[in-house]
Amino acid sequence: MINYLVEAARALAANRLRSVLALVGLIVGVGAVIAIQVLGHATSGAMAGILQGFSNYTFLVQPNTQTGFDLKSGIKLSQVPELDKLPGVVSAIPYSQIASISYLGHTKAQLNVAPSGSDPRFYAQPIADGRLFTSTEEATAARVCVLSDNALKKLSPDGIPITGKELRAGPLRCKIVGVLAAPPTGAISFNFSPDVAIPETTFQKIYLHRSTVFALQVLVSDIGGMADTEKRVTDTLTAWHNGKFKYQTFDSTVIAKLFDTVFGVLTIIVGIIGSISLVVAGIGIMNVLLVSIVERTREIGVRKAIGGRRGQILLQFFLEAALLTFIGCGLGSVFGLVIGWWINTTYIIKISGVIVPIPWGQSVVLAVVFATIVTIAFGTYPAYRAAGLDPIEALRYE
Amino acid sequence: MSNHAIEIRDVTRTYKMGDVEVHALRGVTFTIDHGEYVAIMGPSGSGKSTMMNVVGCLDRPSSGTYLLDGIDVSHLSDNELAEIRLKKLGFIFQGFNLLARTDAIKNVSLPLFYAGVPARERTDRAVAALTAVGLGDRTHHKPNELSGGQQQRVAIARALINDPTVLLADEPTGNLDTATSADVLGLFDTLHGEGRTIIMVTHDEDIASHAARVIRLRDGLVVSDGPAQKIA
Repeated sequence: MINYLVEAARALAANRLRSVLALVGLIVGVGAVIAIQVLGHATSGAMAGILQGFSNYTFLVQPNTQTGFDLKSGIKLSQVPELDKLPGVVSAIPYSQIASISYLGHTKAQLNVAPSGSDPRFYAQPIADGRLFTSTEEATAARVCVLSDNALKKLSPDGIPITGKELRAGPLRCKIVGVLAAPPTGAISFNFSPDVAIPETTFQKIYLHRSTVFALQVLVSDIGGMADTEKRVTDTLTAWHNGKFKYQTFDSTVIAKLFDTVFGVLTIIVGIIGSISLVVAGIGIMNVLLVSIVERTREIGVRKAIGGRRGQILLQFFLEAALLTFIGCGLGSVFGLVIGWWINTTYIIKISGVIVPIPWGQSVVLAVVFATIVTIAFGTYPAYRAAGLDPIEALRYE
Repeated sequence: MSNHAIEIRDVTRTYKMGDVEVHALRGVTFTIDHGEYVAIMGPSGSGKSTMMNVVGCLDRPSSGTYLLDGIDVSHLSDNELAEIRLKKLGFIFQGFNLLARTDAIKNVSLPLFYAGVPARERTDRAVAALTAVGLGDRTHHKPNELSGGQQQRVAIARALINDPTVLLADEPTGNLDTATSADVLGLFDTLHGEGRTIIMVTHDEDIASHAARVIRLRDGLVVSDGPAQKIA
């Protein structure tokens, strides 16, 4: 057996051009398949990671305007606190965003002002500097505000801390008590938290001059039960209006569903590209191995004529193919993993900000198994055929 | 145990080419003793190539018996025939049929590889065989680095490496010029002188005249069998 392995290695070394070509085919093929899989997983994972940024404890509710807008569908401000008693609801507050030309000292910026709550779950990002407003401030309609990272960048481009300063936004004067963290790189921030969040009581006092609102932001205690909670809220609102109006909700799952569709298509495309690379790699390897069929057939003729048995000859050709596969898959795996790792770290992780566990082993196994089957099949098949020929036929083979 | 190297009795060989039956050999009988130097001659279509393949155990007769060194090889399996070729026969082809990009030693020692001889012994015996054919200084040359005559001598060394009962040469000088042909034929004379049994298939009278005995075939039958006519 060792004898045959040595002989196979020697034959590969002797036919250097053919061996190198087959090896290049194998290395590129295996490498491409592994890299494509790694990148496919990295991309999908990054998308999934981005989707996680959507998880949010709040949803919006507003009259269903598909059948036309009716002023009578408004929700009485005095009734809103009653919603807090519904199971699953932590707090319901009026929702509105008001664009205001705002000033911090002499720095001017257009910012959205909106009501928010003292519960940190109202915010998609954690606090980075200072604090959120307290429930006491909420109860007393204190003139305090929490700014987003976006607002901070607009108002203080050089990064000087602004916590504790006074912001003027239209009719509003408020003390900046805190600034939120920036959303993770790449994650598409989806939240209802505005540039300037102020207690809803303060918002009502300064901006709302009506007794009804048309949109509410509802904080839920459990994301899993959000759909049920939404149903309870809309049913309650419909009941308040004697069944005359329907209400619709809007939460992160709506966008998550959209992304699920995109994500599904992406997975299919990555799969197709992966399969194509598998086929291309297979054809490449196959070509190189089949090109030498004439020379190999004559060689088999010689080997048979001088007394080589069919089994002996097949074993040797099989070992040649196996050696090729072993070396090619080894180098190809390293090549593919390095390429995949490099693109993943330099591009995908940098852009998405999401580090995904990648099934390195699975990618390698799939590529290697496929390449091994192709190489051994097409490396041994001509030998199998030729070894079955009459030695006379094989010697005459052109 | 027969004292003949080769004993062929009523051997026929029929091929099927589609629906047509081709009778390449129609009943050939002859014996060749150990140490004989025989040329098998005949024009194309005479059946001499088929004869060569049968004698060389590359092909089986359709009917009749063939004893090689006393062994009936008429009905052996492919693997048994391979064994016979390995142990009893040495082939020399018109086109040399050396393995490309493989040095002389490896080419010559190939039969020993299949016989399961250890690597060191294979090399030693190959060097000895190459030296015997006058190529002791070309042991690591590859076929494309050797002249036609030298390649054929490598092939002869390969044919001799297993100390075969019979040396079979199929148009051994067909690809060689006159001077190199004489060289190779001289080598055959030497081998004959050492007591080797040589069978050579050729269509060339000059070449055949080097043999001691000529068997002429025509249309699948032996038409004459006798001493070679020496050309002055």
